[in-house]
Amino acid sequence: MPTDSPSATPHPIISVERFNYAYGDHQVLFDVDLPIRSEDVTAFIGPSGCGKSTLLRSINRINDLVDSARVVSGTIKVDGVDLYSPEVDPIALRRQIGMVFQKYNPFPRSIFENAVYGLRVAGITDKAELMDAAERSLKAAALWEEVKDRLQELATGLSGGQQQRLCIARAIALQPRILLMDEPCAALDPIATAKIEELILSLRGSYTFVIVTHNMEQAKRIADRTTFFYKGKVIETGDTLDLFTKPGNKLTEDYVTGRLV
Amino acid sequence: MSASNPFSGDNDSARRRETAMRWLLRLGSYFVVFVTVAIFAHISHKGLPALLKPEFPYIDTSFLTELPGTLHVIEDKQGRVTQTSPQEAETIKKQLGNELRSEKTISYAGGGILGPIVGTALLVLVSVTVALFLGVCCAIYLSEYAKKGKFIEMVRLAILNLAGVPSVVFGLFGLGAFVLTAPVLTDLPADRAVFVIPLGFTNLSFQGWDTCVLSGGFTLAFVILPVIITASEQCLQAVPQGFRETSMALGATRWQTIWRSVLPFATPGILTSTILGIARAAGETAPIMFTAALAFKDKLPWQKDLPPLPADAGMFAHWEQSVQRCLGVFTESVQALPYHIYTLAAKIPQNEYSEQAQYGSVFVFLILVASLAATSIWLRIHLRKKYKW
Repeated sequence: MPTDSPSATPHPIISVERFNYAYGDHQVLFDVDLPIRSEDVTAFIGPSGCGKSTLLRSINRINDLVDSARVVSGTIKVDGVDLYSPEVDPIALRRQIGMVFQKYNPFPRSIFENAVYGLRVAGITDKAELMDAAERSLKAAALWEEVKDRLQELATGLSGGQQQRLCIARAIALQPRILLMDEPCAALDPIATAKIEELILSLRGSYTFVIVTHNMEQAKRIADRTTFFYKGKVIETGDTLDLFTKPGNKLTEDYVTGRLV
Repeated sequence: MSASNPFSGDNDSARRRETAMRWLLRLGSYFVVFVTVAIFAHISHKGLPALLKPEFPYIDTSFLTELPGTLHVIEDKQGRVTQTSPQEAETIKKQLGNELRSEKTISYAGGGILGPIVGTALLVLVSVTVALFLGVCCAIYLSEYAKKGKFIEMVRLAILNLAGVPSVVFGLFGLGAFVLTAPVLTDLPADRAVFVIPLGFTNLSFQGWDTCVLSGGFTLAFVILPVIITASEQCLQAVPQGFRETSMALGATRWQTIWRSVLPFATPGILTSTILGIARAAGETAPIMFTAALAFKDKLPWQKDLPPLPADAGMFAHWEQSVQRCLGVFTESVQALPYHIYTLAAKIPQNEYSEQAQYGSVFVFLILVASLAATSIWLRIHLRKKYKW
């Protein structure tokens, strides 16, 4: 049962409604109801296998790539449009909902080609336009100063943190409205993690962030709102500070105090 | 079993078995190496002389640059033996006059093996082009598009079975399918055509391609197809799933994803397996026996008798005839290395002279295959350095 604080839904950009999702016969999300507010940073927390990544990956329909994955019932709406209706083209959808993955994975191509990948597949070939976009997104991802002299070098030669920031730049080059992040710092050391968090805070307001994290401290540092998942259900959602300091549910309390694994 | 040393061990039979097993495994491995080395040494020893001559520069390239022919062996009364070609045999016989003691002729064993080398190259070219196209299409479909299920299992089973089919069966299939029934466009359908579809301006006649490079190449393509499909699919699967997800998450379609972020990274492996496929295709005898190969042919595939052009023929006519010559090579039957070796070894009476030609061919063939394998290894190392993730 989601317990919602009163200020929860002024302008939900994403609204998940009675969403049930399964891999084959194995249901992983049960009746998820969740409004996600525009321009907020929303964190999904919960133990492994609780369904938080699946929900995140359903928002840009990247989970369609998993053969057995299917929506059982319910909807996810963005601006009132049901993302799973037949009129929605997942390709067009993904151009507006960016995603950053857990393992930083730039393509083994040049830094420049990575930054403009989304634009290239969208059919943009104009050199100047691509260069502008690359500069803009690399600057936004706080990477420009470090790579501006070696844009043609292989992206895989960058440090882990730089690679992840390049992945963020690559996602925001398409100027999406929503950025989904699946444990973006899980493979990074504390210093690189701090830089990514700083970056997210600096971009806050320009995009709607939804971030899956295992790190509760991270959720506290960067998220406006936090949602706690347990066994495929949303247990509690609320302002981050409230959720951590005065959780309304016993399970949430156990989890945030480290007694529930 | 000393009481003062608890670590001395006392299970003698287990220890003996350990030693025995280790030696068994070791000897097995040594034996494999020994056999390989023995084969190479034997063939080099017997075959190398075909490429050597007693005087400077010691390398005799005529074996590689001449067409096969009949070998004449002439012995005079002093017991001097000369090996020579039919034309020169006449001159030598005239010079010797009464001194001639004996003359032997050995078919196929004279001259060089240029014909078979060219034929094999053409067959490989056709088969690899066809197999690579079909194989990569199939591998991409299996790896990237098809959903796991009954159908995929069936396709995989089919591929596996294809790999187990004996090569002579492929030969008969090629004879039936390509030599006798494959469709051609022709104004005058042959009587033997299985059926003819009139197209108005011409006919599509299912009368086969005859024994030719095209028939043989297509047949060989099916022999190496399982290897290429399986290897290509493995190479595609080895590309991290993350590349696909990231690419799709950036708004790419399936095909854009495959073209930009999967295929380029699978190409090195696909090329490697292709080269091994080439080695296989080059070595098969049975599939080309009924479809492309001739035991003997005194012309290269492009040396076809075309009507002579009139003296005032323009540039275009010359150009047209050159194109005709180039395309014509695919509709010619050819000699091929493995079939040539088979002919020398099994179809003519054996003696020291046929043996030299035979081992010479085997040696050249082995060098060709070995260099293909070496290229594949080099390519793998080189490309891996370039595309690592």
